[in-house]
Amino acid sequence: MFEPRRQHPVAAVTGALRSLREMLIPLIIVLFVGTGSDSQIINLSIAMAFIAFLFIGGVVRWYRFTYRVEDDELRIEHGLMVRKKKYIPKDRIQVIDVRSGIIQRMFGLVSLTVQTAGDNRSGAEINALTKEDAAQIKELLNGERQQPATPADGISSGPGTGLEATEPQPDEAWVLNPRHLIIAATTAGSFGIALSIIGTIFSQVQQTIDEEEMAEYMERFILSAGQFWVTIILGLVIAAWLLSFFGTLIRFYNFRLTKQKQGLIVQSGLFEQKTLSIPFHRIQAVRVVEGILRQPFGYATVYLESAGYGDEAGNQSTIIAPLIKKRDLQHFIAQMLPEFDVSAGAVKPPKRSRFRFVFRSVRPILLFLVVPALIFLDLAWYPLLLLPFGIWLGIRRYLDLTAGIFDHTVVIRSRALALTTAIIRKHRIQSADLVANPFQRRLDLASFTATVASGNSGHSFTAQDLDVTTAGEFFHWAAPGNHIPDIETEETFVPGFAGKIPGVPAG
Amino acid sequence: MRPEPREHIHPKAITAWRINAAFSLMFYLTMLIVYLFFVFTEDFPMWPAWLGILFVLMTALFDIAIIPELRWRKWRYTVAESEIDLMRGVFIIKRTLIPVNRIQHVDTRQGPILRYFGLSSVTISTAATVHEIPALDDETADTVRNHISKLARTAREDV
Repeated sequence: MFEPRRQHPVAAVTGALRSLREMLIPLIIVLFVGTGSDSQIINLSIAMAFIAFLFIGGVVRWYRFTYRVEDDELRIEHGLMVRKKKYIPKDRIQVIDVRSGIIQRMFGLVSLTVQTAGDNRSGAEINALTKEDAAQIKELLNGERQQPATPADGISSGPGTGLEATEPQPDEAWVLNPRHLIIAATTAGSFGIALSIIGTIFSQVQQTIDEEEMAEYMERFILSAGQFWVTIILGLVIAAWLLSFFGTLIRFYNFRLTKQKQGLIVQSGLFEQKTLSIPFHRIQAVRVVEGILRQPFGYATVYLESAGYGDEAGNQSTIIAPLIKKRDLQHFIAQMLPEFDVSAGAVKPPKRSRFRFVFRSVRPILLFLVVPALIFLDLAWYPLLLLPFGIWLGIRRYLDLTAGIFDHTVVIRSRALALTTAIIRKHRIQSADLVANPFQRRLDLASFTATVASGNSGHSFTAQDLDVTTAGEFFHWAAPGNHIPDIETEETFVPGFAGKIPGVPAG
Repeated sequence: MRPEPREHIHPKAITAWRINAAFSLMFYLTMLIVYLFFVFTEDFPMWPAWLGILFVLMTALFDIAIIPELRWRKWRYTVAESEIDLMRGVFIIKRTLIPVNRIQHVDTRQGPILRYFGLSSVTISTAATVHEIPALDDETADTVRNHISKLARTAREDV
């Protein structure tokens, strides 16, 4: 595709509507508050001129926006006043995302987004183009593909359509069945705010919450003694649950994961069908998360960390299985991501580190709940009731922590509130850390961390309080070269979750 | 167990860190003096000033007298063929390993204090993390930077 092309003319309209949406407030002010002139006609005509101007702008923008693929680059030229050229080399492209919103679907069009590593601004979006064009662009930019251009587009308007190019075998596709969709929606968001309050306080691993929010949550929690607050919180929890229920339903409706030669294709969505293709060579790590509500029923969620891609919600990982039975997991991973299907000789933290795990879980309760409650609220001893929970969580964390190395793959399983198993290929590790504070040194313990690229930044996985020699072996293994770790493994476990098989020799 | 990295950073780093700490100390001192002014003219309570004095003394003792030397002694690095090894930390000892083929770019930078001593710090960025070797003399910093970037180019792969 060497000659520059324009988008479908409908882009002019959607572009104008978009800027109209941005300018809505000034427009309303002009219409209802007035410009200082008393005459309604003048106000109205100003508003009309304004809208006309936006539409002309939309048309000019559409006219100026051209795209083409040339010299292995996606070249976009655009700009209303200032003409901009954006050239994105094929090698820099991490993910090509094709989706269709309501307006696009009315005209049988799609939008195509290209994501690159690092900066968000270095990506590009083509708003309205035909499916064929999108498929062709994908084809041209998708690297090593040798076959002649075939319409291998990723949009499915019915089951299986659009994927004829590499006709998937039945076992190369994975579909979320409706029953599991309902279960996923029901258990999504960990029962909304109620558990996320506890979750945020307890999870030290995911420090995504800022202090202000924390204070806000805490306030709610402590004040919940009053009937009034109990009602409010209950209302909030129900509202949050409903929101997450329908949100999940809409997001994962018709979820389908397809394996192709180059990578995985994820399709889902009720109102907006979203298609995402992740080339195998961009996959950085696989993460299996068993939420606290899902674990008892034997369900898990599978995430992929891939460089340069984060969805609009700011999540930096892609869900490739919203809900899956744990016993199906190994089969799933073996099928979709065979190189992540490993069994590892694994180690556990030594007994002497048990107290540290419990202490770490209890500390935030003491610091953020018990002490402030005792100081600011008279006789507020009830946060103490959380202490047994903290102790239980600490023991759970101690028991659950497992780390293993199999050839060129490291597996780290740890618990914040949910149990997370990360499978990381060695050559994807961006940096490895070995950390020991004075208390750990006293007990000959150290923590090992592996960081992989994820979205625009990184995702770290830590095995805390391992024996210092073991942690050192993990650290040494992370260096390029062929270091076989010299660790005495206690048991073998299969990250694909056939379960733990004690007594089987490692490797 | 992996052998510890060998190279020290430049000893002048100690003085540079001390001067840096002294500057922040001066800032705290100014605040303290302003507050003391209010204590004597406006009847502000004295106890926050005592806390402030304690804080300033502790800062002087730790950040200027004790920590820089210890920090320098603990800081080690090695630039090897296929990986970079860092080790630092006075209380919490942290070792970091960066595979060379994961490195995206290497920079050297120099603030006013470091410039006065003819020192530079080297910043190593991967797709996920940023690491810093804090104080090398300009020549070593340039060598290290060029060396790493040459290694990184030959080992270049995907992200």
